[in-house]
Amino acid sequence: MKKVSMAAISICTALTVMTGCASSTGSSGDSGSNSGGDINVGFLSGLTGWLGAFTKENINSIIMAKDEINAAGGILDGKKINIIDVDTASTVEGSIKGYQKLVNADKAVVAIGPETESMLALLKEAPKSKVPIMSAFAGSTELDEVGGNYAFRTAASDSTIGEVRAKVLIESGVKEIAVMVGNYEGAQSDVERFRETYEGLGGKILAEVTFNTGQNTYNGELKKIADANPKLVYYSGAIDTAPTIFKSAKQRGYDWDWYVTPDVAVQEFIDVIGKDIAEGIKTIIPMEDENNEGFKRFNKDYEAKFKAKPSGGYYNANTYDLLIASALAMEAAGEASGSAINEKIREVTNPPGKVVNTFEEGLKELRAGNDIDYQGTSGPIDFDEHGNVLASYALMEVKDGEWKQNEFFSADFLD
Amino acid sequence: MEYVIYGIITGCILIIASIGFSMVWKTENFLNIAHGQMLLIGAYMAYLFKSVLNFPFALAMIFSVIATAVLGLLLAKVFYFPVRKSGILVLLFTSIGLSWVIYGIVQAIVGPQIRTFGLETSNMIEVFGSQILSYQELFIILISLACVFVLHFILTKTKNGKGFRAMAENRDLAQIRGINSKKLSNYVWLISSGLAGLAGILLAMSGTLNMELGWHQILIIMSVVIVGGMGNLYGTMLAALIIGLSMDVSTIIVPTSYRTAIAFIIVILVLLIRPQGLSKGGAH
Repeated sequence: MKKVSMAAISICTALTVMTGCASSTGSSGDSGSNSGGDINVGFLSGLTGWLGAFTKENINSIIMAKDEINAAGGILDGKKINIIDVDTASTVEGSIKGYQKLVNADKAVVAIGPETESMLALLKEAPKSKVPIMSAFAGSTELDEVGGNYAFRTAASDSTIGEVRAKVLIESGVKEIAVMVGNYEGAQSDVERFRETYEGLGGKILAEVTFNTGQNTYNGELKKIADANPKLVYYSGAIDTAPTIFKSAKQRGYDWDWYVTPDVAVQEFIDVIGKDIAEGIKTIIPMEDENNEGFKRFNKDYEAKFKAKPSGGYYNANTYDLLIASALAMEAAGEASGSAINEKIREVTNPPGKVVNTFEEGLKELRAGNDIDYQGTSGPIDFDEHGNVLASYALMEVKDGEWKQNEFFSADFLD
Repeated sequence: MEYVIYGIITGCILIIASIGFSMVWKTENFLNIAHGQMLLIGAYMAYLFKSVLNFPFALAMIFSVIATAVLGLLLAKVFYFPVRKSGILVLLFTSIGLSWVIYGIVQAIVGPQIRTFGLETSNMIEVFGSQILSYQELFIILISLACVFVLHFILTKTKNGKGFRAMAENRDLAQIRGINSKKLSNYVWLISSGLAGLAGILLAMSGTLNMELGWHQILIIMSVVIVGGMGNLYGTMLAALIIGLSMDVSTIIVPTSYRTAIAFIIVILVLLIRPQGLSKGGAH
């Protein structure tokens, strides 16, 4: 009995301390280069943890935007932008702590980068602190009608992307599918609107299986899908579970066509599940037409600067645009502050105004006293009252081990 | 039938992952939370040997298990042995701290990227006319069985094994009776860490190498050990199979998202009905 009690005490202590420690992983690991910049901009995201694979390209994108702004002489008569990157360890707790650090210690004017769950958690805090939160990849439908005041996103909402996906599938004659969805908010939200539209358009979901991350095997989940005998399966989950699921499916001879969530539409997905297994997998992601001049310029400059091609699914251009738009907003307001960004960001990105495609063009027009309409590298980025943008989309397919754009859908595809 | 096979596979990985944890509990009397991170080390060691140093996978596995075993012993000597006399809570906190240190160091070295061993997809084996098991999964089952038999042989047929059982019952008494508990303790840490490394490799074989591997497993490992009867090795093995089977077979009737919850429901039930676990404790 003594041993049982001792075990119970140990387990309780272990769990308490582990939980406490788990929260503390979120503490910000500032590695910002304090290179004498005058305006601090926060990059608040998971440099480690499950978002780690995404953020490395996002950081490059924000650095690219910063360098362009500073090379053009900065804003507000020569003030330079300085990026402070804060690691949230891909946790909501980390984002909250990191945001506090950016606001109170670093005096940052904006926090760019949080994912869905962190955006939701910081939604009330941002207007109080007067430091906007901006996301390039928070697609949750939960954010559809709650942002717009110190909360903006250049990521397309899951509700519109879900509709586009459903419409594309129905129009291509796929009337029956199965769904595998991760047991977390981002994945559930990704599927929610799609399911509604797809069934509304006459499609039938034969089976929907929710899975947990970090399991040893997913054979049972796959068997449930197999029992429904679908031709196509939609996978909405994280990249770390994908190899186990896709490899097991291949191994068991489940010869389904796959559509995947935009979250895994990255080169790393192909690398970890293997070229052979990945071949033919499709996704629909918010993406600018690859023939668009701004997007082509972004890709060319990125490749020249970082000696690597940017992956579409990492929302790099969206991240880049957030900093350019914020800088233009501060210039328009004549003040380097979060309030200035919040007040002016729509004015510099939405019509009316002279259409500008680069920061330099925008700066020139603003200094000449003209209104501007910044056309982003990720799309027109016109923010609505809730801080959302209308996006264009692309059907991507893995061909010869790379994501290739198959078809482009402009923002009015759903009209 | 398929779900039973899936449950056995899950259970077999859990057996290898949990035995070492159970052995340390039995001999050192504390919950070694850092055990989960030894799975992580084992997996990344194998990656180092296989993908960086280009060793054949079988050799990479062997070297990785040995390296993890030795590293586990060294860590125990540096961090645990000096504070052994301070009591189990100090040991427990040390192990939690060590977990984060290992996690941080591995992360600093390997970065946040997700990796795989890049192994070919193995073929399926036909059982009673249907393909329900791959060669890779059969390999996991066989490795697990081999570990169980070797461990059983060591515990029952060798002097050290019998010494371990005696030490597990009463360390001081065993020492008085001439059993070299220092030497035996070293063996326990070697075996425990080596098995954790092996479990990490098997997990990464069917999935990915990612930084959360150790944290994802440690809670399930703890529940297996609790159900098995805190430190009873055979109980642990049985509990691993029961939990593995329950998690997979339950998905026939409950949604798959509750799969992990099933493991903890079993823990609660066992604690309510039989607080001492499936077995009474002891090494046999």
